[in-house]
Amino acid sequence: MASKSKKIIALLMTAMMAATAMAGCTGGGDDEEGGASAAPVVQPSQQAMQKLSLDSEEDVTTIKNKMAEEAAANGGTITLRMWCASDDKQFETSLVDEFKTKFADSRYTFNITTVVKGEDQAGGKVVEAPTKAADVFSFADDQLSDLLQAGAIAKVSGVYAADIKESNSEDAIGVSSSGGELYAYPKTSDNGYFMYYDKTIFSDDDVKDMDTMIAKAQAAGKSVFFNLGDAWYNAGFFFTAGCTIKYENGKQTATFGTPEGLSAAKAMSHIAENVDKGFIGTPGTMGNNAFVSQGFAEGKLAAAVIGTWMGPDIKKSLGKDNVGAAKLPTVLMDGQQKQLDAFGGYKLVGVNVNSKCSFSAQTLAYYLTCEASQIKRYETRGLIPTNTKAAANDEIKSDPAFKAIADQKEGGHSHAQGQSVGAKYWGAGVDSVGSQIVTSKGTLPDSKLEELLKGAQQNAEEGS
Amino acid sequence: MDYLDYVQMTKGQRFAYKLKSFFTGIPGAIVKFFKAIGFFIKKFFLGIGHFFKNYGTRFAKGDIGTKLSYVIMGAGSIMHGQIVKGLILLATEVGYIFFMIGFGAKYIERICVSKITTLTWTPEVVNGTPYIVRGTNTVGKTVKQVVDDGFSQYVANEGKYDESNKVLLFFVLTMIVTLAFFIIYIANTKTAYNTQLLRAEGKKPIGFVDEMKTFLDDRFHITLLTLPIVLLIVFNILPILFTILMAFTNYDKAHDGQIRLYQWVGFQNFAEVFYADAKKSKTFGLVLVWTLIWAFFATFTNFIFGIILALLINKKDIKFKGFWRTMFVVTAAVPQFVTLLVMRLLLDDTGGFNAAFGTHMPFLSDANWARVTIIIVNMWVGIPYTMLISSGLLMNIPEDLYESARIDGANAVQQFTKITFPYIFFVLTPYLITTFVGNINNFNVIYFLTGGGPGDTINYSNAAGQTDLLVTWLYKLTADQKDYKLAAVIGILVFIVCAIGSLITFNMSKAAKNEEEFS
Repeated sequence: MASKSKKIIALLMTAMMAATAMAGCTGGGDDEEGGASAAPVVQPSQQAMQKLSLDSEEDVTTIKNKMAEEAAANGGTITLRMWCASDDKQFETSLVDEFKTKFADSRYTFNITTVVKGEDQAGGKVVEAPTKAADVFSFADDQLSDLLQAGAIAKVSGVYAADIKESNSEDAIGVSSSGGELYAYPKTSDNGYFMYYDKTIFSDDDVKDMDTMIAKAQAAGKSVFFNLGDAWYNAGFFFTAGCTIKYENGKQTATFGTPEGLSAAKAMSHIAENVDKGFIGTPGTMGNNAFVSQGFAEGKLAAAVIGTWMGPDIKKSLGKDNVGAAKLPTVLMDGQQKQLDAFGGYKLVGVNVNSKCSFSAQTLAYYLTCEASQIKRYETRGLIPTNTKAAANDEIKSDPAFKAIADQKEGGHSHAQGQSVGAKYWGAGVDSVGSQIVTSKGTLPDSKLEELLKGAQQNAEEGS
Repeated sequence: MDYLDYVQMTKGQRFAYKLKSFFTGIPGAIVKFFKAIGFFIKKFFLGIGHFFKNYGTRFAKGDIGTKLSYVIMGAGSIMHGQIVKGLILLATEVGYIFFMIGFGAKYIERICVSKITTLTWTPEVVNGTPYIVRGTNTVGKTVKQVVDDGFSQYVANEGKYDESNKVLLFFVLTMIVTLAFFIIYIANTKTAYNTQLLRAEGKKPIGFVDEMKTFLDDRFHITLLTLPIVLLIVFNILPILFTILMAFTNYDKAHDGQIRLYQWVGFQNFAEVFYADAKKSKTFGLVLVWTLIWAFFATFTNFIFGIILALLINKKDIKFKGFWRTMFVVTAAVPQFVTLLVMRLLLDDTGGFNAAFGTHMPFLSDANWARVTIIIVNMWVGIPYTMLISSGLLMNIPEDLYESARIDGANAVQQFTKITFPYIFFVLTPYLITTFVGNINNFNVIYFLTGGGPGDTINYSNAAGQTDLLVTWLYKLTADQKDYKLAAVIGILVFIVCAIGSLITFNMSKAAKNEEEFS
């Protein structure tokens, strides 16, 4: 038998171990259902409030009164959490400060925190745990259907909806709505891609077709970059070829194993023949953004298919006056030049239906996306407004990126992501079809392409 | 071959003989392994038989107190003079009953009676107001009500609802508590019977204070190990059971357990992986085969080249041994993932290597290239370790073995094959086995080099790529695809592959007990 002191030490050790293990468990004994306790109470909803405007003193008072009511129910404080992308945090926080000043009142205090959560994942996080998510969050438009299905997003306030519908582009309202009801506040209209190019190398006519661009770039000892190994970017080819890519009621359609799919793949192959000869079709392991940023900085790239988020970087590398932007060029498909399609998405602001201060949250979302805020957002962040009055601003109208997006939309060459692809599309291997074409430098035989496309269709449509 | 023949052999021949018998022993070891399993199962059922027999015997031979304690725990102890112990046992029973009523019963009901299968999700719209119905069950509809007062839409009344994860987790917890209670219950009948026997002999059963003292003396191990075991159960066993059960549900993105509850599907997921879903089973087969090929090459290339390197450095006429050794150890000193990420940048399509030589070699973007590249890069990462271990061993081989070999006229190759290699191989067998199993689960090398790619839509589905190991695929399934059911199945299968592989080989290496020969 061990001596007594040894035993005591051993006991202490186990106790310490236990204590450290327990330290990980914070309390939190929310508890469990006890049967059918929650009888639904149906309240008659008050009908059609008048529309409130942030410009009118009188309306601001009405808003403040309503906010004071909410604050009173929550101990005198309006507590809101907001999610935004990390690049935007500083700017969005400044808007929040303006909001606080505008609606300051002696009856309540604000406690608004801004937390970093990218637009690409915000919707998913809200769906995962709606009650723990932010009150106000920015998200990419393709997440709206998931949010609606989860019942996590609130309708746009009745007092603001009319103004939002009036002042935003029809397209933006379309992706923010479902069944005729508006569910989100459109924020920016640039969640898509187009062609950024170096004006010293290409003329306005050069950027109209891909083959000319590649030839010119090669002559200048540089390259055109288009990430064919990414399902988001290479979808344009399939749209152009006439494939059906549709996401409806949780069901994905992607008709790649068809003659149209083959045309798209052959058009990619045609471009990929120029890999290392004026064309780069994959960023390798670097990721698009880093590759484009570095490519322009090192003078390796002459043009790249990318979105507005890289605008500031490219401008820094090329000099503001040398940056051109245009809609995607035409590509040689089935023997003729065809306009490439693209995904053109929006970033929206949503309000969590579980918010304790729901009207204050609605007002904040409204403020973040109003005309003045959208103009400021363009000025500081270079993000293109959805508000039609904001878009009429001279400086914005003359921005090449703005024009490129508008041109791309013309003639239905821009597709809304939410109605086209669901989450499982990205795991279906459509990107690997593109990257194999690039790796083989466009030498894959038609039979192999057909097999790859059929496999991709099967994965996308049947995958879990 | 009898003992005389054996002792007449030279040392080298003995090693050859042992090596031969090691490999001829493999089938025997496998048979032995399964026999052992059979024996274990037999013993287990016999044990259960004994258990019920004893349980019945105690009841039959028990006095009124012992019989009573089969229903009211502690009754026997109280009647036999162990008052405090009896009260504690009684309190345990009461506590368990309250636990079941207040907590456990509803989870058992959800799992066993409503079987979570009856819980489905239907979005409903009532008077233009969307209701979110979070599961209908035998207890009743529970809802979350959303209202709109014209200013904003908000949750007016949130009902309680089932969450699949919670139900399943608490079910497992309830079962563990029940098992623990059952053990205490049996101990209760035993102690009642034992005290009865003591009293029959005219002895006084041990008092409570004295019994407590035994926990600091005879039964100190119990005092010491109770807490660790409880922690082990809560933080290890419980999650493992929970994950295993997940493999029998349809828990995935479409059935997330919150909005749409998941349900039991039996062995459907396993069936899909093995045969029912043609593409999924093909994917699984290809990933499994590549996993084994990778583990084999990763283990043996490192092993063989590590030994060769150690031999080279250990050669008599090599100068600056310490320097060379340090040089190779430096590669191991750089964190593995840093090395791997640098390699990846270097070997990229547009990376350092291709840029420097103006080539376009698809090191990581063509499946077969990538597979070879991965194995070679892994050698860079792993050889120094084997070198270190085996140079330690090399220095330990008694010099007189080599001396006698030289006198017998053995050349360098013979010395290596008859002395050095058998020695290292036998000592390092357990290391080889652990490395092999470790390589089956070698996440870093694959994930940081290729991320599982390049993909191939013809033969692969569910986001698996051509260089994915089971474990990197599992990561993708959970982190990106949220296909938890499939991930749970893969996890179980990885466990089975590793467990069977290492059990058989470990058994074998023990069966060939040759190491003593060298002492």
